[in-house]
Amino acid sequence: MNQPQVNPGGTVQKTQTMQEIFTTESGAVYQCDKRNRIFVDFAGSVTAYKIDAFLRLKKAVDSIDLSSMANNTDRCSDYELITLCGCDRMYVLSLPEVYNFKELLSGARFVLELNSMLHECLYAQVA
Amino acid sequence: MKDLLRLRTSLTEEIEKVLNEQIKMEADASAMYLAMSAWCDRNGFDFSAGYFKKQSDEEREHMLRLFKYVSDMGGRAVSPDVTGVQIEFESFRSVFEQALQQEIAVTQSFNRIADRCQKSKDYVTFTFLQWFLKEQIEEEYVARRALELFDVIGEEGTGQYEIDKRIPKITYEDTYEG
Repeated sequence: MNQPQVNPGGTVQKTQTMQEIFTTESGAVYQCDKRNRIFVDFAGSVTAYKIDAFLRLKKAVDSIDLSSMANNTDRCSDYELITLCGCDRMYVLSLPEVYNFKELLSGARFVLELNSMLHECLYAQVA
Repeated sequence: MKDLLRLRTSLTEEIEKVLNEQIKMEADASAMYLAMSAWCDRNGFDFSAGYFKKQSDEEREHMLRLFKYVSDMGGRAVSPDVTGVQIEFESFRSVFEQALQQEIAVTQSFNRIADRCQKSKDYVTFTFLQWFLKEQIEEEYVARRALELFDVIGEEGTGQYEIDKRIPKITYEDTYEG
């Protein structure tokens, strides 16, 4: 089977149709061309997203105000809940984790955009 | 590696965002015109109430045109929330002043979107916008002519009554002679 596999331990087993698009020390993002999904490996688990959901996830994470989290002394501001409508996965992240998640998703988003630009340049039929 | 972003839509995230902002602007404008219609109605300006109701319908139609375009292109069209609509207006004249200001703001907004489309080489959306840019000539003209009636006729005596009667008769002639 040429499909991305997620091992019981939560790590992603790479296949021919699955490519790593961005990695940091805290996680990794993969693209599966067979299923047209983005796999996000973060906080100990791997979640598959459609591209639209991935973009919504990035938007949700970007909208978190890190400085207000840091400045607020309430216990409830120590963690941030990230949920997406239509997705089962919910993230409960501390401030450093949110920071790392932002970095990971931004990097992945950049690579997706870069890939899009390369496609446009390389496969354009008309100069 | 597949280009997943373009498998979804040829609209860039930026253009999708500005189009959704414009959808909201049109929805706000529609709600505002409806509020103006209600104000005119309860202050006895029957013809103006009908005029603003028609304008409200037109703005909603503009919103739906934009909405359909975003959806047709595979983008995510967002049904906007419209809150805090103004209910009271200072005077009969101020209603029309606000209407003209709103139309000019809409024109400027479309100009900015067209500019962004050119910068991001999105000529499909740029072409789609031509209808709106042309429509704004008429919208601004009608709003400006309506406001000018206050100076031409004057509000004294039966002036406001005469102005109200003239409002629905304003039409835009799309010819070089008009």
